[in-house]
Amino acid sequence: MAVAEQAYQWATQDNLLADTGISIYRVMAGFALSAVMAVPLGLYIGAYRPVRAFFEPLMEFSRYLPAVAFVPLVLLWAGIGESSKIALIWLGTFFQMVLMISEDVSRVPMSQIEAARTLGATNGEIVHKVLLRSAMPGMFDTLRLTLGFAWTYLVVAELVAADSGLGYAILQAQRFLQTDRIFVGIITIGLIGLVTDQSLRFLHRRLFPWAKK
Amino acid sequence: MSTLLVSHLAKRFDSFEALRDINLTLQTGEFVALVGASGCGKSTLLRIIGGLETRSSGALEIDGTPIAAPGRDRAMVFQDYSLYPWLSVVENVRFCRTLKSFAKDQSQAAIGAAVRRANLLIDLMGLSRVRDARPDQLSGGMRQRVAIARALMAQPDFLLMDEPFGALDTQTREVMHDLILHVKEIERSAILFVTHDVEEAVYLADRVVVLAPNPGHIDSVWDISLPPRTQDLKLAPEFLHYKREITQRIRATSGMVSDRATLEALAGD
Repeated sequence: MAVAEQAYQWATQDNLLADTGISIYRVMAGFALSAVMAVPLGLYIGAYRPVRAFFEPLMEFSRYLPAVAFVPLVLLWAGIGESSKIALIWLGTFFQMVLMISEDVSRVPMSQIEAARTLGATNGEIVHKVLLRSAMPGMFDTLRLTLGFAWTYLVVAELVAADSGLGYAILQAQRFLQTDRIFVGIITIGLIGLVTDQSLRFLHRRLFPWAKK
Repeated sequence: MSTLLVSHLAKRFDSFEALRDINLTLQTGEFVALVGASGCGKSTLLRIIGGLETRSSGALEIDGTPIAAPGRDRAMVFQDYSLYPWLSVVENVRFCRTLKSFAKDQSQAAIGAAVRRANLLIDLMGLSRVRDARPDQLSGGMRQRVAIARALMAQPDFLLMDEPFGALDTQTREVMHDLILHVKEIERSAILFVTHDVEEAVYLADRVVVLAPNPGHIDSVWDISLPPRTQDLKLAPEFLHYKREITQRIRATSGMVSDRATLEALAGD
């Protein structure tokens, strides 16, 4: 009840919408940056053995670097502007994404690839006409999962270095011992996650009716 | 008229000798079946001919030209999972026409001919009613029809089939057998067919090659002279004669224990 009141107050007087908006913007920017880089790199790592041999150990190593521990560095290098939040989200999602996407690509059935080869497909054609198409539903799921990670890193970024956003609001609420308000922030993030996840699942079914779960 | 020639071909995987001194010819219009116990290298041989595996030594040539890589003159049909599930039946069949090596000729005549050929193959394979369906909406037998049509679309000189009906039930297999014989009548491609089912091999092939394991080598070659195939033929004495002889060869070469006396001796230990 107190939480509901607090939510109403936050929404009407202290612009909950603006906080949510800026947070969504940061998540989307960081996530999009990761995805744009990770999809092609993951595809080529999954497709070509030499590329894999070069990048995979690097990615495996980077994946274990705790993104949160980079916060001080990110602050030093990128300041407290928008770029530091985006950089932290990128750090937290990119390496995971690359490895998961290369996994999706390597799960493409061998006979799909070999059938194309015996029909005269070039390597490039196999990557674009078979591997990419065949792995697309898996990649889409990978992106859906890593979007969840992106929210975690957003909150971390906003807790330590921000003057707006849901994470920042949660930190402010803690300073003033407004427990109810903390819950509003957490629930808002949860709801955003739930809605995007369900929409992406729905989209997955519409885009890839042929992909079995 | 094309001739595929395999001579003194051998294949090693590290210390494992998979194939030794394989000699084989295959000509346009022929239907050759490769049979043998598991581990005899029959699929490996087919994959080498398809260009999907390398050979360790020996020669492999088509009309005198050595081959080392896959090519559209040798289309392959796999046991399963080779169709593109995101494409409809007709799009799967036309897949090779979307590749650069086929798309060079973009004249109206070439495109028209391709469309006609795709339609012809879809009719031939009995796929007209499902041409716009997706592979996951089809039964296993129908999926293999699509895979065969897709391979034939490339007008290969050699159609290589790796246990294509291995995952199908007996009734569906019988239908597929008559269908593939019908295809052979109409299309020019030579067919090389790997199976572990002797009955299937004798029913379909003009020549049955028995491979024996450890290391994989050709044990015997059987020219099958039987009247035109009908399902009833499978019960005829001359058919059963081939089936029995070849089955016994495979059993003798497999090195596996199956006779009663040996089994009892083992059980007694």
